[in-house]
Amino acid sequence: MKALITKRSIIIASASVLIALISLVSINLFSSAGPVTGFANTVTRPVRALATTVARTFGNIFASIYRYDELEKRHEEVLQRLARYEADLRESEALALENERLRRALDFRERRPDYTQEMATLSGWNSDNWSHSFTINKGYMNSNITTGMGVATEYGVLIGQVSDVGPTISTVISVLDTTFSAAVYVGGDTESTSDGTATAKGSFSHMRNGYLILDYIDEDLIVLNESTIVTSGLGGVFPPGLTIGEVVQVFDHPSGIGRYATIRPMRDIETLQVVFVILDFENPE
Amino acid sequence: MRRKELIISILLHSLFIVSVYVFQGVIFPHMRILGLVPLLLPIACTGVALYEGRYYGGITGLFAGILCDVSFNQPVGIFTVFLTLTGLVVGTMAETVILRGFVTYYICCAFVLAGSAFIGMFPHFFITQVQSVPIQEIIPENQSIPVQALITTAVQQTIYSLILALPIWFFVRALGNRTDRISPSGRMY
Repeated sequence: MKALITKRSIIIASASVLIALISLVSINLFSSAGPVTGFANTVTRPVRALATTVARTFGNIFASIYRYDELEKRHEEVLQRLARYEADLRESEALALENERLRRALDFRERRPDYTQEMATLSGWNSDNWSHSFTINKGYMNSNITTGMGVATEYGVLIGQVSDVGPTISTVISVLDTTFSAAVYVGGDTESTSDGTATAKGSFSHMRNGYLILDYIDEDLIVLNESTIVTSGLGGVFPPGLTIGEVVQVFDHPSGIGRYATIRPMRDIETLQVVFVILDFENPE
Repeated sequence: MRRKELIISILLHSLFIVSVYVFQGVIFPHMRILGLVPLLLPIACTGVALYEGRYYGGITGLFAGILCDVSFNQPVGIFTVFLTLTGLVVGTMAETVILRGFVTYYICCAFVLAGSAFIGMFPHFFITQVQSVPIQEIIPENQSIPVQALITTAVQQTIYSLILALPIWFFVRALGNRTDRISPSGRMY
C-alpha cells in the first residue's frame, strides 16, 4: 500500500480525475464531450481510419477464404444457367427462322394456288468454273421432278431450271448458267404484253460477277436501270410472273444492232437453303 | 508388298483423295476467290502418278476423275477418263523418261491443269442452249461467249490451282516415301 501511494501515482490519478471532471462539466454545461475528448478524437482519427481499412481488408480476405467454396458453387450455377439460356436463345432463334421460312412458304403457296410445287433442300454447289449449278435432295424416286422444271424461292423468285434428275438428287442450273434462258417482260407488269418482250439468259462473261443478261430486246421496249424482270410465261416452260432480277445497266450491242442489259438476280443465289420446284402450273397463254 | 501393307496403302490413298475432294467440292465452292474454285483432284492424281507409278496413278486417276465429275454436277465421264489417262501417262513417264522431283511435279501439274481447263471451256464453243423458249432455236448460245473471257477464266483457274499444288505436294511426297519404305525394290510396276 505504501509503495502504491507515491507522489507520481497521485499526479497521474489527479490528472485522470481532472480530465473526467472536465468532461463531466462539459457534458453538463455545454452538452458536448469537451475539449479533451475532441483533441483525442482528432489525434486518433487517422489511426482509426487506417486500422479500419486494414481490418476490413483482412475481414474480406477472411470472408473470401471462408466463403470461397460457396461462391464457387454459386458461380458454377450461374454459368450453367447462362449456358442454358444461351442454348435456349439459339434454339429459339433457329425456330424463329424456320418458322419464318415455313410461313413464307405457306404464304407463297396460298398466293399462287395455280402452282403445284415440291419443296427441296440444296445439297451442294458445283465446283466447276464453267457452269453455275447446284444439286437438290429430290430425284425421281422421292418426287415427281422432271428435267426442265422451273425452280423458285418462297418469294416467287426464279432461281433456275432442273437440268438432270437422278434417283434421289437432281441438278439445277441457276439463272446465271450459260445454258439458262427465259422469255421475260420488263417492268414487272405481266399483263402489259404490248410493251414487248425480251430474253433473260446466262452469260459466261457475266456469270462470275453474279449477273445474267437481258437480250433480244424488242425495239419499242423501254428498259431502264432497276427495272424488274419477270417471266412472261411464253413458251410454257416457266409460269408467268416469277421475278428474275432487276436491270443493272443497259448497253448497245457491239455490233451496233440492238441493246442488251445486265441483270442482277433478285436473290443471292449462293446463300439459298430451300427452293421450290414448280411441278405444274396453269398457263394463261 | 504384303497384303496388310497394301491395304493400309490403299486406305491412305483413299483418305487422301477423299480429303482433296472435300476441299475441291465442298469447301472451296463456298470460298471462291475472283469467283473461281481451284482444281485439286487433277493435281492430286498427277502427284500420286509421278511418285508412285502408272498403276497407282491410273487407279487414283480413276477415282479422282469420278469425284471430279461429281463435284462438277455433271455425269461421270469426261474427267474420269481424262484423269485415269493422266495417271497412267504421267506414271509411265515417271518410270521411264522423267525424274521425280518438285519441278517435274509442277510442270506436270501445269500441263494437266491446262488440259482440264481446255476440257472445261471446250463445250462452250459448240453446245447450244437448253430449249426453253422458241427464240433459242434461231440464235445459237455461243454468240454471247467471247473467247477472251473463256481464256481468262482458264488461265486464272490454272494459276489459282497451281498455287495450291504446293501444299498438296507435301502429301503426295509423304505417300510416295511411305510406298518406297514398304516396297524399296520398286513400286507396283
